[in-house]
Amino acid sequence: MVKINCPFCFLNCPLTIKKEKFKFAIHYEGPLCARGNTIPILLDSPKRLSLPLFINNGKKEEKNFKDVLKELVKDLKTYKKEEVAIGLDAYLKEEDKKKIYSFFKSFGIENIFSSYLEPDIFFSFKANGVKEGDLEKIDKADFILMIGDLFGSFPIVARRILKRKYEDKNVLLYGIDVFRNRAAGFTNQFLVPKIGTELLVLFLILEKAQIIKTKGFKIEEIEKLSGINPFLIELYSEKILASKNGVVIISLESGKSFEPILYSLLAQLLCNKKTNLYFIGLKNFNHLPLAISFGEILEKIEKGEIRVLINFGSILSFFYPQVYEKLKNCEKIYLTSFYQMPLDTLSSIYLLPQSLPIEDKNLIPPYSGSRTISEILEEINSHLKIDIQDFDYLKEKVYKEKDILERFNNYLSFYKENKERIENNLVVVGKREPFYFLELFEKDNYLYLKRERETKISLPIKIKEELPENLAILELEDLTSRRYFPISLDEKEKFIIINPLILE
Amino acid sequence: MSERRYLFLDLDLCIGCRSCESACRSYFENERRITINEIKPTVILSHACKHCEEPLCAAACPFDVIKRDKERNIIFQASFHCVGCKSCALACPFGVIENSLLNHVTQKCNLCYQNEQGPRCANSCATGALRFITEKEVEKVKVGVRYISRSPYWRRV
Repeated sequence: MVKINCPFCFLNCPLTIKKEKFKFAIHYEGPLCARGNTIPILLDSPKRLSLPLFINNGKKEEKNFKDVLKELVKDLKTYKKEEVAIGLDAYLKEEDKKKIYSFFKSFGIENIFSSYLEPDIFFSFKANGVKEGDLEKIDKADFILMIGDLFGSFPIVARRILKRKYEDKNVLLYGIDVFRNRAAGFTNQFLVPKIGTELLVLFLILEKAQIIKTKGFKIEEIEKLSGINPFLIELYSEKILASKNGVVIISLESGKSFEPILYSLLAQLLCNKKTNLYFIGLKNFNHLPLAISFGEILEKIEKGEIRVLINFGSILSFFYPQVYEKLKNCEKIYLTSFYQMPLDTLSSIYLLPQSLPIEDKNLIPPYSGSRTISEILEEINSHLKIDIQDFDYLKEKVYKEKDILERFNNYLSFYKENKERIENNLVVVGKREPFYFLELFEKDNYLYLKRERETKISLPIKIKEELPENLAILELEDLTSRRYFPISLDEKEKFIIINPLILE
Repeated sequence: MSERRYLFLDLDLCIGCRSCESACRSYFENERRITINEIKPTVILSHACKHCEEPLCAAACPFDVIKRDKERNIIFQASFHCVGCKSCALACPFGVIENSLLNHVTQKCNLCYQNEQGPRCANSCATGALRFITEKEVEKVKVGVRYISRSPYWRRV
């Protein structure tokens, strides 16, 4: 029996893994969400990578771990330090991230970036004066505002919210989301703005409650665009101001909002000094941004300034089409991966089997052939012999109210220009962990879901009743299928935004 | 005979997170024995074997593979002898018996009787909606009270 902490979200629930005959099983000591329950399947998945692979234009060649690391060391010595970039995915242990950062920083490499693309990274952007709270604030809250589908993503937090709601009838549970999500049935009031107008609605609530100064904005025009009943806006702002000890909880999933950074910032403004609310951003990983963003690295790769790319952790971000295309400009790519990945159209890629964050010599033995981050770094250092120093690697960006409103103004003009396109032919994309064993594929310009277990018949996308025509909330069950969804670069922040796909 | 325990689903707490299904799949290697019913796209509820007093699946089985275990008070299936005729799946009025595509035999919930902690689905339930409780405890549960109190119209009731 081994006691570990679940690596799947920032809650890090404690759980016990035991080996039963020939398989791993969870010994339950408390509740566990669906993602946590998949750990035994992931540990022994037949898709695990057990040998380093050299992939060159579709040809796969098995390699020795030591030889690949020797090759990597050779490249680190021959290429200039500015020509090498190091990527850190969120799916790594906190200690490992620090180790990798300190190691390569000590070697003199400055291009160290975060290769994690999910929206929860946007919670690292802080609004000036925001009051941040922890989950314990829920236990005493008199008003809870839920933004997004957090019952679907964080059921353990949902347990806490429902407990609070049921123990005191006076507790008000309000929600905002672009469709009536699972939490809607539990709330006192649920606001459903049209897709794309959720930011306008938050802005109107802030304006009505007089939390922000909105000089220069045509409020009546925004009200018309949002299409929301002004009575509801008034009700929300009233309750926000009346609350003595409330919380705003937000959970963002990929692709469901056009401007996740601004969505998060506007929600943070609700927790200003003028209100008694605390802000809780639910994120999938304890992830902290680095000084250089993914967007900047991609630009450098395109210009040919970066020739060698080394990434640690999961490599799912590289499956976005824009990123994938740009990787072709790299001369050498070294990626550590937990599972076998289809990278057939790229050349000169080394895929190295990496142990899962919960695999450790003292806890769960690493999967055959895989190595932990410490082992990989030690092996590299046996050749390079670097004197490793500690570095501060955190950077938090704080936005003033002025900047947020300027950003909102930009969004408003974007929305006005693209209103019809947003309202009509649009697919909203969500993401789920791969435990449902469902697959998404593309055929004749349409997307299909394939249910492998229940039936072998291909099902077209389900258009949900609550949504207008031609609109679907789609849950990506298989993470690799995300490559079908286009992304764009935010020029100002150099961040990547996931765009919903247009269904013709 | 041990006291009979029931798998009880509290609708006031179920948020359709599929944690129960995931726990079942995780142990039985991708073969779930608890099904998820989508009443509405946003209302999803779990649904497992009821271990009926007069099980139709047992009556329909031509090889007597499905039997009542009097000691544990469950309807269990000896999969080893199952030939995969699907009679039980057709007979079940709740539609909770699935035919395994891999082994060509049916899979039925046995309330994880080998597990000391009880059914894995109930143990893992994220919100505490799915519980494994005795008959006396079932009687104590007031169904629907919370549902009314959580509604915005509860004062009118």
